[in-house]
Amino acid sequence: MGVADGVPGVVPANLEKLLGFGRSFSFWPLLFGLACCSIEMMATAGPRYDLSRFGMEAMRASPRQADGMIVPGWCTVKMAPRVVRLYEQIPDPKWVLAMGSCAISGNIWNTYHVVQGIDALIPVDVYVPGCPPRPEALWDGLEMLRERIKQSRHAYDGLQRIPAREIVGE
Amino acid sequence: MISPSVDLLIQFGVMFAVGAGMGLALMFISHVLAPGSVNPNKSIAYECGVLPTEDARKPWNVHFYLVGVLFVIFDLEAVFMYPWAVALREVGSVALGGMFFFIFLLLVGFFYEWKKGVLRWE
Amino acid sequence: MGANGENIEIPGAVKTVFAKLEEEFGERLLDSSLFRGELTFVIAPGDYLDILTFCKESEDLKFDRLDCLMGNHFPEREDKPFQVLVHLVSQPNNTRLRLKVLLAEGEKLPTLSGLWRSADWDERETWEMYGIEFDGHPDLRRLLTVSDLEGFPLRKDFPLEGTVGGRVRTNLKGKI
Repeated sequence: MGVADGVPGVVPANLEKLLGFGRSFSFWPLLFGLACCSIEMMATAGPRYDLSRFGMEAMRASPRQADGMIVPGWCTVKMAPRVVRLYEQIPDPKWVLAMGSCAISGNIWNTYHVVQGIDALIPVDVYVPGCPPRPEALWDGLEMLRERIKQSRHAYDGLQRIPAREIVGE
Repeated sequence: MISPSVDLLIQFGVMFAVGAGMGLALMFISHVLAPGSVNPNKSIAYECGVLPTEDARKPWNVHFYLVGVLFVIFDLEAVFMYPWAVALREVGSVALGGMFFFIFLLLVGFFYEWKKGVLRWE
Repeated sequence: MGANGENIEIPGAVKTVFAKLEEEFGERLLDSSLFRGELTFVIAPGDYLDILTFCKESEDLKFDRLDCLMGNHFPEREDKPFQVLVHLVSQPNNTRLRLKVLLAEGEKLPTLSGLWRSADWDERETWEMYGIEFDGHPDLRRLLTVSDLEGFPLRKDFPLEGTVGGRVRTNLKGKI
């Protein structure tokens, strides 16, 4: 487990595997819905495609209690600083899933008010394309995310700056 | 088996030590094992992603205090009733009369607060 | 007459509104049209406040609610490219009315926030999207967009594709 792959810590590899295994079964995302993709996220949390099987039905309203974010929908320029602040308030280790084309690249909104993909602001682990992605597609993306959590692989490490801070230069 | 009371003391001490030790150990383990990073936004209060506009410490309606005080009084009355209910059969009608007198005293206070309008939230 | 030529019953309340406004203002109503029971008048910016005050305060008309106020931009009309559209609703009489004002570039209108409080935010949005100013407005500033945006987005000559600020489209410095 190198520094680029995961968050630096003092944990030996076997223990890290055990911790990752435990964390993957109760990833609590932040209750965060920006646009239409949140309806599909809510549908995934509904009874037919049940998020509760993965332990993810506990979507936390406060970032302090969350393990990561699922970002469904486009991020406007007015919302961008708030997304960054919420991301930074989530304690480590954290993962981000960009759901839907708008969160990946801005989709058809190549305009003055939509951020062209939230990976210009925060590091993203899994991208789930679609407009909106069906619950099965989101489920596939969450399986990939759980694999990453199990292996304790992150898209960032605590020593680097997130893209939004790189841009601002702080 | 030193003596009964010292035995009990030792048992209590062991229980206290294990309980406190377990709590401290869990906190220490998670502090060591969990990764962490520092950024300015982690130390401010959470307010849905915007900067907090004001402190939560501000004057509150004093009626909350009155309701809280009354709750404590009547809750303790209920607490006194539990052992009385358990021992009533052995003690008999003396206990019954005593409890009725106790309830009557608190009932006077209840009527006073009722008439004073404490139960009506303005 | 309806769109296919059949006779559509014009509600009596609409006839009353038409008759009252014609009687009071006559010449100052530049144009009128009736389409499927919806009455529209075109008025001049100078008569804007008078006519709208009459609509609100007259006993027969009683337009007590401003449904919405919005702007529009027609660059092909060279002399008066902007217009403001006002939708009024009369709840006691159950009628609606639409008033159009054609404006030249830079022409201002008096504010309606003295008559209907909801005009406050409608006029702020119209100003930030089209640049149409309202005299006497208590607080004319941006409502929906970020404070450092330059230009008026809903004008037809505002670029459709984002051209400023890279992927993030705004300057985040000092905001995070």
